[in-house]
Amino acid sequence: MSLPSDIAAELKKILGPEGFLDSEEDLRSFAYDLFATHRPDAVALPATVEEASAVMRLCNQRHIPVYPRGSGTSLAGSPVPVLGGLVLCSSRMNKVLEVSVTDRLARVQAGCVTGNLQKAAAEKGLMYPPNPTSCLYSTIGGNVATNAGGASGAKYGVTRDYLLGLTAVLPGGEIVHMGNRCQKDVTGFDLPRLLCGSEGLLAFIAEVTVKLIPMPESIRTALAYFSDVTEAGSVVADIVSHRILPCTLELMDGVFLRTVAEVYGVPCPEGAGAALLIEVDGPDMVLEGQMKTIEAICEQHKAVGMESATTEEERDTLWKARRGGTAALVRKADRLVTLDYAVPVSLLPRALKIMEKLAEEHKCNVVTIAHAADGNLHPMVLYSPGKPEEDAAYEAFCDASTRAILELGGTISGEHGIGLEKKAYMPMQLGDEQMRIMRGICRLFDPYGIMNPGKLER
Amino acid sequence: MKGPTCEYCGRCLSVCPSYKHHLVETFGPRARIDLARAVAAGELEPGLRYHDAIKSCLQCLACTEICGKGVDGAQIILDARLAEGDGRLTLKRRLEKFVTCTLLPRRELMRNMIRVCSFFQHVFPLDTRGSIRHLPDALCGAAGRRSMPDLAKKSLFDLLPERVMPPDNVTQVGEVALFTGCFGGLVNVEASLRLVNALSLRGYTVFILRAQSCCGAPAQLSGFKEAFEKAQAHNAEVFASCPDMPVLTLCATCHRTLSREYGAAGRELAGRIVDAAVFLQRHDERRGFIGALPENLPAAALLRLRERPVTAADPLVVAVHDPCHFRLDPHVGRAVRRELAARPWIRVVELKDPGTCCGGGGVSSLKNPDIADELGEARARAVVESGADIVTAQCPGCVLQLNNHLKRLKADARACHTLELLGK
Ligand SMILES: Cc1cc2nc3c(=O)[nH]c(=O)nc-3n(C[C@H](O)[C@H](O)[C@H](O)COP(=O)(O)OP(=O)(O)OC[C@H]3O[C@@H](n4cnc5c(N)ncnc54)[C@H](O)[C@@H]3O)c2cc1C
Ligand code: SF4
Ligand code: SF4
Repeated sequence: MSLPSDIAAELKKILGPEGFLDSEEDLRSFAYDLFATHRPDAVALPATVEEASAVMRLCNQRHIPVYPRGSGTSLAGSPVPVLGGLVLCSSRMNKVLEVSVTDRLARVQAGCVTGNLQKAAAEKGLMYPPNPTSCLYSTIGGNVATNAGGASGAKYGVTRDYLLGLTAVLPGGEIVHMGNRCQKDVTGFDLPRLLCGSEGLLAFIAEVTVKLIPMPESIRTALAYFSDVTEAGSVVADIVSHRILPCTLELMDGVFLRTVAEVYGVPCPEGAGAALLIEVDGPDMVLEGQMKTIEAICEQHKAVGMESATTEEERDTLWKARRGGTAALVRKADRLVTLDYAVPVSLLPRALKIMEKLAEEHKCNVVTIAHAADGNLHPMVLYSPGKPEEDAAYEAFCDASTRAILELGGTISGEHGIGLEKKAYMPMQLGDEQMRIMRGICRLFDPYGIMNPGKLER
Repeated sequence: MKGPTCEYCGRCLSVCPSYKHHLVETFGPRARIDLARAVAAGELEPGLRYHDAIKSCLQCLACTEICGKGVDGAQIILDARLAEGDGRLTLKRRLEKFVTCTLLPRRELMRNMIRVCSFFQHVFPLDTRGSIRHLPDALCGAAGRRSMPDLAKKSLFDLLPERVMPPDNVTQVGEVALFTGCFGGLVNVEASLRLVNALSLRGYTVFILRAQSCCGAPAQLSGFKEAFEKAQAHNAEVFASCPDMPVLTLCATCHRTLSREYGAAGRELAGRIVDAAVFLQRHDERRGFIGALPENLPAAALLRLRERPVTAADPLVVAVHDPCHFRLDPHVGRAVRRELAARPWIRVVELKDPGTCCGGGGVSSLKNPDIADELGEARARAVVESGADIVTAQCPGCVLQLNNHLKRLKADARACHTLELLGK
């Protein structure tokens, strides 16, 4: 399929030759994310809000599907143009517009890569804390649209917690500035945060204003090994009950540790069935005491080994286990799919046990890591697609684990989003009434249903 | 297609200089890999856009280095270029073919050409200067904003015999052969002379075989497979006359091509390739050679380093720029830093954003002069910020590029080949 020629001509006029692409090569290149692929009919790369607005107005008039896209790093098929139509990609709108030290905020265009925003803030001694693993290549617009989180979520929160305002382009082409530069604001509904996590279903986000905080003075890192995931899980609760909120609490299971040991020759202490990577940040004088307390807690829980780091170099070595582990697993498997669930922190040990049990039951190779302090777990399934029995086992594990998480009172997505991957499960978690309200909101923003169609059933 | 399959995570977008410039997925590694795969599988009829995507890759290897899955993006893209073959032989493409396939392999012809190179500055259309970076850059350099490197009046082969023996008072320790590369042999021979000198002083007999030719990188990187294979077979045969000894290179691109790209015909030679600076470092570490104190160096040698005198108390500040083509051999950068730091008259500083491409080494950057300029200027600024007197690289392309941009910024710092310092 391709767009009607008059629409293509009009889009070309709006966007110029660099901003409108419809060669077969370009269509292929904007078809995918890690989860799914579908070829669009054309690609728009606006350079300004006004161009985006003109594009949206035209598509709305002619009922052409519009698929907002950042870097296409979604893990759930969210930006994939499943019904063809137009991909509206923010990559050329990538500027940091302002970093204000006195107002403690930054204003950036939606296509700005989050790492560049963080760098610009750091140059002025400030920090933008949300750090999804993909922050060096995903866009802030995509992060807002998926409410991205990261390893430091428990202490610092997620994208939504830093959102002060945004400029949205509605399907009709209206340019709306939502929120403002105020650190406090209770006037009206919180529309910026409604758009946060809306996965491109409501509007195209063109510009974002985020809150910044002072950069912490120092950071301390420790890596502690335990006999199993339940023990490691209970350490988490204990640390928090001692009034310490680590900025990182990454949990790795036994299979994960064994892979690291095997691939990198990093020895893992005897009897270790789980590990916790713990980081605290803040004023130097406080960290010393906090680290001592954490060490004592780990001892009480019969840690089978413990290492700590103060310099950046030592810290890198400890992180190697966590980062290198994922890389090693990715290389080991034909395909590795990272699932994403969250449960109340108290239930994390149980959720981890359930994952182990289900993996065994379905004869699936599953390795689990977790952002433990906020109950966000990532079972990673390793398999060879194309082999019928492995495909079936993978499908069965995904289905069973999603249902088990719901039964436990958890959520089917902690940070990766719904997209195509979890589309069928969302109504199970939210129920009819919430789904009805969400559909109503969609209609209010987007009466013709042109925004990211094929995802949420409308 | 061999090797692991791309899973479309997008991580490689974070390091690709060409994506960061264009800001269009089609000109990023993930799409290039996908397009190359689709064409190879017969799923996609390659059009103009495909050609542009494959051609505009700088072959900086950054995507290959970062991929967690182990996908060798740069190689896949290079293979796609070779598979395209000659393509449509437009005038530009014909010129490119003439330079990479006819001129570069013929050293005698080249030598004469260099003498009349000003002629070429007018002959080459701007775009052609692209895919052939090192020597051709020198040939066609002065056109536009690019400045011309100092051309050697005499080539290395005119200056030195085929076999250079160590001085009588030095104990012989071994034999090495030199792969000069087009640049080191014909254009800027300073680094080569310094290297030969340093090797002689350490007791090595150095073979500088006259019959050697271009490593074939310009042909390979421009997609001319036949000429590349010819270069490979030719050099393999030439160096077979110096068997069993290490073959030292002065250029990261030659190094990459000889050690990683040579196939069955050049495998024996590939196994003997060592970067010259790494070779010196290994030797010195084993035998405890320590660079002379500034007091003992000839005044002229020091005068040319910077205006202020170099002393042990006020050492020369040297930054190391890592050429892209050593990206997959990180030991090279480590060895060079150790070797430089071992000299009491040198203090090594780091540039910010280590590993960033300067737009001057490898190939094709000049095909996209805008990217090359953007990258070159950013890298030159990083040198200025670092406070270095001199930035070194083991790649004539990088040295040329950095010097051009340092000059444009009117900076005091300048760039030189690592061996120009190590050889002192
Ligand atoms: C290796 C890897 C690690 C990851 N780690 C994390 C992690 O730690 N935490 C986490 O939360 N996620 C993670 N992700 C998922 C992904 O990176 C995030 O969802 C990210 O926010 C997507 O940003 P993007 O720019 O790539 O958006 P895309 O993938 O292009 O789009 C994602 C969604 O946002 C919408 N969208 C994008 N831009 C706009 C816009 N301007 N206006 C309106 N809607 C828009 C799209 O329509 C789509 O629905 C990871 C992904 C990978 C590949
Ligand atoms: S080449 Fe590697 S880093 Fe790039 S998208 Fe593919 S898997 Fe990811
Ligand atoms: S080799 Fe460099 S320029 Fe080419 S695709 Fe990879 S990262 Fe980009």
